[in-house]
Amino acid sequence: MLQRIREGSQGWVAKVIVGAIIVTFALFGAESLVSYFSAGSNDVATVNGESISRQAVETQVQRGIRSGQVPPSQERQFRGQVLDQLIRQRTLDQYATEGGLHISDDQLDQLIVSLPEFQDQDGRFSDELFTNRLAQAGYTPSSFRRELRADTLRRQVQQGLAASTFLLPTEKARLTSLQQQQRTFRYAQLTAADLGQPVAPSDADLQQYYDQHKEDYRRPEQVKVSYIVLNQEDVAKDVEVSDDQLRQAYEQARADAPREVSHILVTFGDDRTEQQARERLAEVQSKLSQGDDFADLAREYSDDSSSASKGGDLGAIQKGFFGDSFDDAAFSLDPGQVSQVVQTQYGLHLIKVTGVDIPSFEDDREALAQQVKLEQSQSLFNERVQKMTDDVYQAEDLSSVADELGLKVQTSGWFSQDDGGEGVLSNPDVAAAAFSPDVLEDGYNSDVIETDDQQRVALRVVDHREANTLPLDEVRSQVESAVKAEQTRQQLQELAAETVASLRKGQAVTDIDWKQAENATREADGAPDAILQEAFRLPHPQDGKTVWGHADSQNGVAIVGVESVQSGDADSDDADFATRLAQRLQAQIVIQGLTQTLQDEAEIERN
Amino acid sequence: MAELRTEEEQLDAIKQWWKSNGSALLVGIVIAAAGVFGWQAWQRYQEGQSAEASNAYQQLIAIASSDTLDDNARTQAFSLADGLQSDHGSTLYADLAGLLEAKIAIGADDTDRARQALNDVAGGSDRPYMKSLARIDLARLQIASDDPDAALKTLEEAVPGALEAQRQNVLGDAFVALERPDDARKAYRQAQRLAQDADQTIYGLQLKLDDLGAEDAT
Repeated sequence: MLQRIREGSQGWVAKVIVGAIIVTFALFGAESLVSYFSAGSNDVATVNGESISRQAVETQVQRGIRSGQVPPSQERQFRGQVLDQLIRQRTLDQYATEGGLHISDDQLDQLIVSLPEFQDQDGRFSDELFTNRLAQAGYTPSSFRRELRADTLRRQVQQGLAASTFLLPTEKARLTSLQQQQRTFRYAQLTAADLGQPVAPSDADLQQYYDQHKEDYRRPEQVKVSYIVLNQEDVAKDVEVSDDQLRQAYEQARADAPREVSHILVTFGDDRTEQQARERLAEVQSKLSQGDDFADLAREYSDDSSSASKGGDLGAIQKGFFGDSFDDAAFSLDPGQVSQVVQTQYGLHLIKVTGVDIPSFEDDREALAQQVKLEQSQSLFNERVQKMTDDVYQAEDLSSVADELGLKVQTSGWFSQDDGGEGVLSNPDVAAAAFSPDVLEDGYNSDVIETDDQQRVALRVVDHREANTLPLDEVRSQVESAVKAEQTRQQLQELAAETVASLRKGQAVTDIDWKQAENATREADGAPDAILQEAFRLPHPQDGKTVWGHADSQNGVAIVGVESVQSGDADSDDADFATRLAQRLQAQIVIQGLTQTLQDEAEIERN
Repeated sequence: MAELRTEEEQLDAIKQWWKSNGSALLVGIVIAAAGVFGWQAWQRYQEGQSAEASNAYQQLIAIASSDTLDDNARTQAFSLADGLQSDHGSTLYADLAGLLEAKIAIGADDTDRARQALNDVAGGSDRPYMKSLARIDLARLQIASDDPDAALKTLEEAVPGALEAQRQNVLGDAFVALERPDDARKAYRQAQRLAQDADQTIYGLQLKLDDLGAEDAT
């Protein structure tokens, strides 16, 4: 091509081409041409002609997985979500850019400097933190700036839409008054007892219902298994422990046990300087050394008003509750001792340990023995597990393995993979093992399954049955009660409709046990929910004429008659809450609506 | 082309070429340079303009988002919005500024100003979605000032699918104000169906439907 261009460089066509190339290079640099020719090969999608690269998707996917928010098993699904999100963002990016939205480099700098993620303890921007945080998250400074810029522009659109939602005073008044509306109504529940005679479904009814609801009577594939369980507790039973070991364990438990603590807190900042606070505590310390009571001093000096009145008592505290410096002091003191001055985010403390929250050695003996035995039995347990693993793999049955290890072979009832069995068999890994091809089809022992740190299970299938639709005879009683319930409801609905028709005509209806609800609100506790809902859905009564309706209720069918409707109070306390909620929902709709609209209008190609 | 044998001949040829084309080349270079610098200066100017708009808009959002506004803040917000609309009229900033201005005006019971701002966006914006938002809000204002007929007219024009549930909801409000309960019920039901399909929640829609006796007497 270049040869031809040179040969024909006298021609005006070539001049135009060369001119165009020069202009392109001058304005946009060589990158634009290179990227133009290399585009297309590695794109997963294009949005209005702009491409989204595979790399962009992968970077996001890896970021999600590394952050631990996405389990690797859901990577594929997550990748799809990432692509959808990138497409959505891209349409919004284009909308913002075409709309002339803009963030200058200076604005971006200011934004970055103001982000708390990049500030040191004094609230100043730290270059080092900036570089480290970006590296952790897999950004380069320029890719971060690019994404932050796009993100900020998208946010400008969204914030503008969200901030422009409003609720007019008249709308607010109307909604509040509807929300607070009160209705006075009568209601009655019709139950099976109200039918002249109980329903008696025929065999044909049962057959028909059964045929229509066969799915409900399907039994999944099931197995019975024999299995052995190795428990570390059982292994631990035979381990001997000495008194010394118990005492050692007790001391260790005591070191970490919650401390009963009192403190005197002196804050600084608004009213006094740190120096003044320290002087105040020095005064307390000198009084303490003269023999003054800590509790009295707490009442007098402590700024923690809730504990001061109780002599500084904070109760028992766990490690980590008040931060490291507090812990270091509290957990290094013996009961009765008072710490030096300790600084935390709350201020300056003097800490007194008044006790250790742990049972006495004798009371704790049983539990300690249990714990020490478990610790001591670890290696023995590991040996047994190893032996179990080897034996289960080699043996053609479980009973020989059980004999070797002194275990008992147990047999299960029927269970399916989804529901699992009883006890240890409810563990999903165990159920999965029972249905694995090796075990189910080939009849081998399963692997040794770790159901928890201290328990191992192995099993083999002894019986198996395929999924099956149970014949009607086997499920007759279930079908019958389902049909009865259905027919009862139908007949009650008919009865209710008849009754309502008579009531509307003004005819007297006897044998009905009316209940009355006076000025009930939508949230009233009196009537059941279904009845309340019906009462608020019926039209307003005109000229004092009760409006009748019926609705399914929990244990039958209910008849409801609305007698009067009262407008609610438009100025209730709930009005402000409702306004905020309405505006938030509105904001959600207009923001999502824009995203949806842009996506509908965009030309999106997925490769 | 004839073979050029000696250096002297080549030099002559170059000189000859320069004589006939040199000035044209120089002029070309000057024009190109002027073009490039001019373009860059224009871009810098544009960039400055855009940054100014962006800053003003950011301030406007901050004011509009605060719960309580005094007259000072409101005056400042209105002047920011006016600036965005007059100096950056064709941008998305101007559209959003119009919507924000209306919201702030409503907070101060300045319905005329709100109506004007929404009218400007509905009539002047290049962006259909923003126009539709403005029209729906405008219709709400018209209902509130006892002119539901005007609201029906405002809502005549189609809106993007994602906003149709909103439009139907406001239509329902207009019909209620006109005491046409059957039309209102139809509009609210339509709004409910659309909102459900689009996974949107419109606050109070069920309340309004219930109050109309949505359940026809059974």
